[in-house]
Amino acid sequence: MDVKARVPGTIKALKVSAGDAVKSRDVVCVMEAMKMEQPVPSPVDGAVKEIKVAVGDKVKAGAVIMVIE
Amino acid sequence: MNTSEKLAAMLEKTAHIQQCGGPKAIEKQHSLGKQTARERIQKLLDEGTFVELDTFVAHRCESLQGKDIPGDGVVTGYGKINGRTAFVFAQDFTVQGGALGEMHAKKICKVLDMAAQAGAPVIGLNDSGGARIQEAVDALAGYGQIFYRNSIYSGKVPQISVIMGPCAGGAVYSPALTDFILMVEKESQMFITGPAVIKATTGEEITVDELGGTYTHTATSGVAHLAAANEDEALQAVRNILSYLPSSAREKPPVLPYEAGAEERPELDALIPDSNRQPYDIHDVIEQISDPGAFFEIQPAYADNIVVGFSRVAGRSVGIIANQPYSMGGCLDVNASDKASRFIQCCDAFNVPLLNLVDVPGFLPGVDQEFTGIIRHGAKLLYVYSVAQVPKVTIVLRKAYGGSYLAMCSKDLGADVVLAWPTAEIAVMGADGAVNVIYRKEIAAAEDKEAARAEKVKEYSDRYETPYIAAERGFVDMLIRPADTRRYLIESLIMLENKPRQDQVRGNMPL
Repeated sequence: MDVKARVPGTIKALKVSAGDAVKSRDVVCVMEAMKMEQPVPSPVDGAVKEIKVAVGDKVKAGAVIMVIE
Repeated sequence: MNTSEKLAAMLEKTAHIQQCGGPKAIEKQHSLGKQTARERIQKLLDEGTFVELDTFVAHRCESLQGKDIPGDGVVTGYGKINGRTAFVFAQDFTVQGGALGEMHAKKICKVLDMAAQAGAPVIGLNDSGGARIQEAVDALAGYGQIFYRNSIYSGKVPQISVIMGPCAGGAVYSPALTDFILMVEKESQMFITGPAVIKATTGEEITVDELGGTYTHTATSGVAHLAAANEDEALQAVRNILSYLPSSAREKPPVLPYEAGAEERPELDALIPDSNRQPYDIHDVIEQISDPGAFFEIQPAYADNIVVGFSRVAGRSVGIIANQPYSMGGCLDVNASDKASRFIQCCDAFNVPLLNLVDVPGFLPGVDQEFTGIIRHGAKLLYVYSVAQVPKVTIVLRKAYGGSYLAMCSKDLGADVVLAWPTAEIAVMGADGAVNVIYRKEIAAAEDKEAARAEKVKEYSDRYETPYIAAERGFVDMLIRPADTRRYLIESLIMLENKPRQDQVRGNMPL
């Protein structure tokens, strides 16, 4: 499942690495958008398959941040 | 026939009709995890209060001549909910799939008319395969007559719909015109055109549940207001919603007994993070200022950048509209504007005071938002707040910037009381943006541009990102210690208790 950015913003921190196990609602990434730090939760239990962004990247709304299987 | 035989005959006919579609059909309904129309009514109403109407109504369709359709597929009547009168209709799926014919519709119209006359809420339990095709335009007219009544009684008496099975095609528009739609997980479906028609027309493939299931309508489309795990939970939720509302727009909401006590909430003093870039969960604020366990959230899964719901403060019903910094920074977008506007309109129709908790950075920027009409949707929020005649209390917790500050019911939009915490930032725009405009030349001329800029940002922030300018002008009535919020809120609600209404009554139009 894709973890997507809900709003346009900047990637402030990545809380996981590829291969990490995550639970649903675990914060996997922190974005800054609308001048606010936004925790991005995992939508599912699973493992991080691929991270598509780096800290500092600007992303659009709907952009895939990472893929969780 | 003698008198006792006449009585026996009537009882026999009644018993036949009340056994719905018969044991086999009932068994099938149960095997699907669904209850019958009569079982649902028993659960919805206070025990033993149901009074049935129109038991003997029968179809008069020529092509169905001689066909036995008990109750014409719908059970109607009235009873009590929390001790107050409520009207109900429940479509009976065990009778011909709950299909709607001419007389079925007339029964529904009658309870809608009676509810409006009596000034009592009406609840529809929808479980129907659609129109009874043999009845053709008579069935179609039946839907039209129901839609007409849903519309003209909107905002007069509370109307609540529970979807407890299929509800497809034109039939969806009766629930859509009512104040609240509740859906039951795994059994409710709503759509205008089903998967087969969609596939034939556009080639898109989708399952019934993905298209019109409970998750879709409570999280994606915003059509429905609440998801329930099962039928009993949905019926209990109806009772909960009604507990916050008056029986009709002519009355005020019930006030629950309340023992005044310690209203100080010290936790609130430390709730706002030191950095204004750190989010927090607005539910924590709502919980602190509400009576214990009183908050009942509406549309929790849809547009969660704004939180709306009923609550009680000192036993009094309030409708809370609160920005949620935890989601999208609490900004206003198209969906949040629609969600909040409809809820505000509903509260206004039923005399529920509005409590606005403001921490809003602005409207969400983006091409998509502009193309989908954020101007048009945001305008709804300004409109419903401005025309709302109920008491309006606004508390600015933190950010309140530009147009979004006004859109969250500022003093200028008719807020009766505006309070602000010391963490409030009421300004036309944030320091970064403002400094770039105001001090553009100074910064450009400076030797160390970044240092000059940072200095100006700090200067602007200290002066303008505060509640003081707004308080100096009287746009804020009082700066308060967060711990005292509940006390001020109770005083405000009591002070506004007799706020008069203009006699103009509005409906609760779907927005």
